[in-house]
Amino acid sequence: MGRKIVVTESQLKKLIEKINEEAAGYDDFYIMNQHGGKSMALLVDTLNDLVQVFKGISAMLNSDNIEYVDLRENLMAAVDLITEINDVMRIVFKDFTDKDVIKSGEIMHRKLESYQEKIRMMVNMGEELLSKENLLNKLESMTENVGNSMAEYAIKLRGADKTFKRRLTKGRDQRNPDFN
Amino acid sequence: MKKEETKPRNRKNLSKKLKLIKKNTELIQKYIDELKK
Repeated sequence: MGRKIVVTESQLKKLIEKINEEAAGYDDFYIMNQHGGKSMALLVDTLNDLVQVFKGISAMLNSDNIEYVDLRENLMAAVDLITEINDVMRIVFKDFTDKDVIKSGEIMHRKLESYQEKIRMMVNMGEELLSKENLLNKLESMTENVGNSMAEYAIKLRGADKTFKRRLTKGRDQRNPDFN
Repeated sequence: MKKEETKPRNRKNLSKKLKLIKKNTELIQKYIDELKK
């Protein structure tokens, strides 16, 4: 029988936190390598798609002579793309292990949904009720707000990636890379 | 519904907000490039 070790509750909590943090939520090197790697790649891809959408919106905000009709068309296309991106992210979050990424991602997710809803409402009002200038002004404030939460999310994703990479490097160096 | 008045865009605020949007976009793109390595 193994030697008994007595630890306090707080010591045990700290130990579990440390293990979770170091293993990025996985206790097996190969599963982390496969599952974590795929999830991370999907989250990076969706963030990349999202940034491309926002680059397009930013270009419209920067444009002095965009037609209302084009603005409307592009915004509705952006809303549809955001829905697709959000759907993929939601699926990955269900099975992801980094709590900070999930929390920050869910905040961004809610902000994106609100952003989409406001865009739909503004576009549906039509130019008669909401002029192009006013639409662009409102869109600018809304985009700035969502951009901040996207940056927060990107920082968390970067942090999680560093943890994964650190553990993968450690695992590769071991003959039996079991985290337990 | 009453039509909103069309006001000229406030160029000072506009450029400030746009700068922030672009700054965030560039920052995120930088992180994505790092993550893809």
